[in-house]
Amino acid sequence: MPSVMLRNNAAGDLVFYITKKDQEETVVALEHSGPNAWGGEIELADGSRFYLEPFAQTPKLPMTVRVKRL
Amino acid sequence: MTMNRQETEQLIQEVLEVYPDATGKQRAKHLMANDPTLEKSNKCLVTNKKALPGVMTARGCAYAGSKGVVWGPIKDMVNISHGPVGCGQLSRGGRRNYVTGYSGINVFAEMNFTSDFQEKDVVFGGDKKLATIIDEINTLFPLVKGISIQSECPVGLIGDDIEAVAKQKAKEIGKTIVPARCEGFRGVSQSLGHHVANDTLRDWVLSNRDGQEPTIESTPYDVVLTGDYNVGGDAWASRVLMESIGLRVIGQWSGDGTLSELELIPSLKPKLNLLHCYRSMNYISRHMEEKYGIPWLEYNFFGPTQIAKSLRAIAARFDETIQANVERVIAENQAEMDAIIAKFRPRLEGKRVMLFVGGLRPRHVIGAYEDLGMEIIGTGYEFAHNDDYDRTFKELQDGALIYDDATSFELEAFAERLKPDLIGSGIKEKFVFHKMGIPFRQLHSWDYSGPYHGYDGFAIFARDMDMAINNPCWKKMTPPWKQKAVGADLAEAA
Amino acid sequence: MSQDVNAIEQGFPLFNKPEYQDTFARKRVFEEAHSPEKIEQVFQWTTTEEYKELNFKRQMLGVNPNKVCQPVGAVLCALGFHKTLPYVHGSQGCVAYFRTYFNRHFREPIATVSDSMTEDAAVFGGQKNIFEGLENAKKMYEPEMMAISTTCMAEVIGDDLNSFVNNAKKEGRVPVDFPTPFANTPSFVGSHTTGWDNMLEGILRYFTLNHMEGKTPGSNGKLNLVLGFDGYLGNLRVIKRMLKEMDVEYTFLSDPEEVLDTPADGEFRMYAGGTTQDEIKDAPNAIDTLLLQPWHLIKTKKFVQETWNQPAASIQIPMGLAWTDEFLMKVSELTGKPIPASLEKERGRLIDMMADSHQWLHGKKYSVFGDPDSVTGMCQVLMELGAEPLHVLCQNGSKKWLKDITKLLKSSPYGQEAEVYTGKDLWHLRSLVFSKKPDFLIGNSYGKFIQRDTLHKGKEHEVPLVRIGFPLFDRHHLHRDTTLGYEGMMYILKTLVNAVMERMDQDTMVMGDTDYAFDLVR
Ligand code: SF4
Ligand code: SF4
Repeated sequence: MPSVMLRNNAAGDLVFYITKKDQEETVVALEHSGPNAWGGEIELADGSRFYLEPFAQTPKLPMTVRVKRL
Repeated sequence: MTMNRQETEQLIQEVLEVYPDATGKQRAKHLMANDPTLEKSNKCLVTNKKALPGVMTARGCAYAGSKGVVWGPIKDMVNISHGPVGCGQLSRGGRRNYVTGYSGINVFAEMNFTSDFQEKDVVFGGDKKLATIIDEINTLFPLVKGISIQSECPVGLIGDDIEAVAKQKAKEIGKTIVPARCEGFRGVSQSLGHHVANDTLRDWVLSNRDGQEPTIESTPYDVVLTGDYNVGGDAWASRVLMESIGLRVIGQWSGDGTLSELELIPSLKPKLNLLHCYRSMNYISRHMEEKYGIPWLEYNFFGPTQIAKSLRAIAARFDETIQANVERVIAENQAEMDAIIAKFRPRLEGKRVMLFVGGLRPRHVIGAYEDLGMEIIGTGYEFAHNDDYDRTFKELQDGALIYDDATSFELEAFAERLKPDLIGSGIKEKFVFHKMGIPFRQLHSWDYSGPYHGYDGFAIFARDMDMAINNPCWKKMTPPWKQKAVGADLAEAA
Repeated sequence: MSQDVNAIEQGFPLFNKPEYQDTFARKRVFEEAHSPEKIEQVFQWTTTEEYKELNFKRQMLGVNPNKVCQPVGAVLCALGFHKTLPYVHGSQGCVAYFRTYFNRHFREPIATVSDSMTEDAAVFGGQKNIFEGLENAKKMYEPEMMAISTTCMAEVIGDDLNSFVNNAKKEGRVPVDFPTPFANTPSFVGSHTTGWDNMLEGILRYFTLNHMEGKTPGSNGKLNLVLGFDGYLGNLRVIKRMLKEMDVEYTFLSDPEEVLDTPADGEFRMYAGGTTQDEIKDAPNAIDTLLLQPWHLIKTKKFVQETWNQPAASIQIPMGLAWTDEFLMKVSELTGKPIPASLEKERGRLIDMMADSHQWLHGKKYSVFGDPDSVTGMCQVLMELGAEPLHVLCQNGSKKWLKDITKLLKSSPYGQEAEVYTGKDLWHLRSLVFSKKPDFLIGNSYGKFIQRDTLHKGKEHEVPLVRIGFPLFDRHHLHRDTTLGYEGMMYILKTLVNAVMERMDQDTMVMGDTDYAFDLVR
């Protein structure tokens, strides 16, 4: 369960930052993007996929979360 | 001679031939020809890996990243080089982090405080010694605001508990004490030291005044400058520029920085955190954004083109007043910049440059060179990660050579083949290229010049590049009696 | 902003312009800076006797030390051998620093590799690093010898250098007969001078310990010379010149004269000059080995005496008049070669200079800091000039040294006032010169901060620094000069007397006030 930080970059994209690896990837697909659920499956620009337990509402970013590698 | 991608790849292959097979295979992953269309570097470049033994890397250690880069410039604290005498002595004063104040009285950045480990400290541990040292500092330097403990290699190997000492002594003397686990064997370069230092800022400093009433009122135009180490006064040149567009700079991290400037940030909640060296300070910037809602923005104040671009990007985060100010400031400085370029560009046009530096300069200075009509034919970082290269590809021309953690051998071989007109790198490289007759500027210390940031800095930068390249000495390497007569080449060819 | 294209200003004086001074003032609010009165008050307090006492009570804290760690010395020693690559077993950060340190002093490239030990090596030991390191470095940089020393990391985890290196050879990483002398150089013992001595002993041991059969002192008719840790190229050159003038054949054991002074002619030479392996192997056949800085060549001396069966004749550092005389007489005695007229003439010229300048130096007071041998030599020079050592500070001086130099000082009318300190640093020295002011300070570049601090108390308290020592970072090319031999004393004399003149001029060029003494002739 890597710890990652989710934030919006200057261009407004959702960015996935893997703290341990100093690695930044843009999120290209997010399963639930609100307003009643936010999270689920996440796909990154490099093709890797993760799972984030969905939140009931759209959270305030940035935020550090634990995700599962799929 | 500008090479295309294929030619560059060819050159890389040739240079790799000298290595033992396994080593060559490893090194190959750190070298590439630039493709500006690439968004991501992780498919084509391996970075932030251990330097291979024996290859003569230019890299330093975590201590250099923590004490040398991040903590060292904080001026009103004493940074103890905790361990044997060497590390602190060898790194004293080398980085030219300018500060103002009374050295030894209220600022301490220029000095070297060491616990000077002896054999018995290694055998019995250094915690008691450390506690005494903290008391002695507090007695002899009563105006000190805080103390940081910068661990050298032995500390982590003998199992000392510097955190416990820090907590205990902080209570006793009532000052901030920060333990940094930046032993040189941790990580693979300075980079881990930046990270460790950022974590200590987060854990031992930043939140120190949470819950206290702010002592200074905030304004809508407050910003903090992060990751500028004030080498030769860079941060000051940036600061006056920020102020000239109507912003109020409430803190500098860490060049000419103070403990208060760090601790005030959460209460002042600046509107924007302006991040200069992403590599060394992105960690704390991310943290401040998450915890205190302070967004960050990378900027580049090298050369008028990048300055204008960055100023406009900054202004976009503020109201029309600031936006109007930015346009006015750009316009006001135009004449001065035009004059600089008119004078120096004709002397530098078309000159080809190779760079090999640290955190951000391998990409940030490219624009400044281009403003002078110069061309970057190769660049590389000592200790970058992939996110740095992601930010580099588009700044760099197609086919340019990229070398990560280049060995001394590689740099020499590349220079020999590419015959650049100028190399910008560090003191360890400088004299090699002087001998080879290649003009050189140190791009860590600005070769005892600077500042290079901002409009003031660009003028100095242009002057310095001109004097490096056009000094008469380079043409005198071959004695006249060994020079071929003019036209001899032609005669031979005929 | 405020640059004039025809007069571009860098940091100083740029930052003294109002726009920067104003920003500094605005910044001070966020610095929560102490008031100027408070700062001044504390500054004055740090110049008092009370502060000096507190300062000397310090037990553990080092402030502005004047020594570095062992491997620094080991690297310098290793550089002095022919086609030799200094190889440091341990963390790479140290090596980056070592190289930088010498780069800045000599303004020369310094080729040294490390084997980049990291966290896994801390756990499992550094054998793998030695394997790969030796193999890579040999292949890439084609040395004929790698001289191995250690950083504290390798020392603390207790790596067994000898067996690691042997295993590397067994594995075929480097040929079995490839020379890999080594020395353990723990930084928490001794200083840079210890490391130099250890490395040299390691090299001599490697090439001669088990090859002594058939070696007889005196059989090659040469003299061996060992300079030790030193930052002056001129010192190698002057000794060589004097020996040549005496027609004495010699071998310098570690001779970095060439590698630290390669020409700029379009070619980078990683290796140049240096003592060859054949010369090392032949060294036991020399008449004797003269240790030019005996205070720190302790292990070397023992080795020379016990293994080579040479006397290692006891001499002082050949600094100043008498000790150069003694050195030449010792050389003459050992080799049977007379001291030639050329050196006698040089000596006479030195005395002539001493006579010419004595009135400016006699009775002047100096605080001196540095390594044991050079500090001893400097005291000797000063006293020969009729000048007086006031403070003598040597952080890495031993108890024995302290006793010895005290005796030397007491033996001269000019050394009566001198106070000697070992184990003390430059923050102690700062207190000393505030409490008893010398006319000048003699030492390396670190001394400049003491000059600044004393100036802040007032021009009349200022102690100007005369830069003689190591390292010299803030002046160019002084490392080319010479402190040994008659020539060295000429250089020191010239430097000292002109420092006096500079100072006289500064003090007497106030128009209409002191300039009655602003003499054209001095
Ligand atoms: S870690 Fe040890 S060997 Fe390395 S620079 Fe520091 S004191 Fe010297
Ligand atoms: S720009 Fe370079 S020299 Fe400056 S801090 Fe970042 S890493 Fe270091």
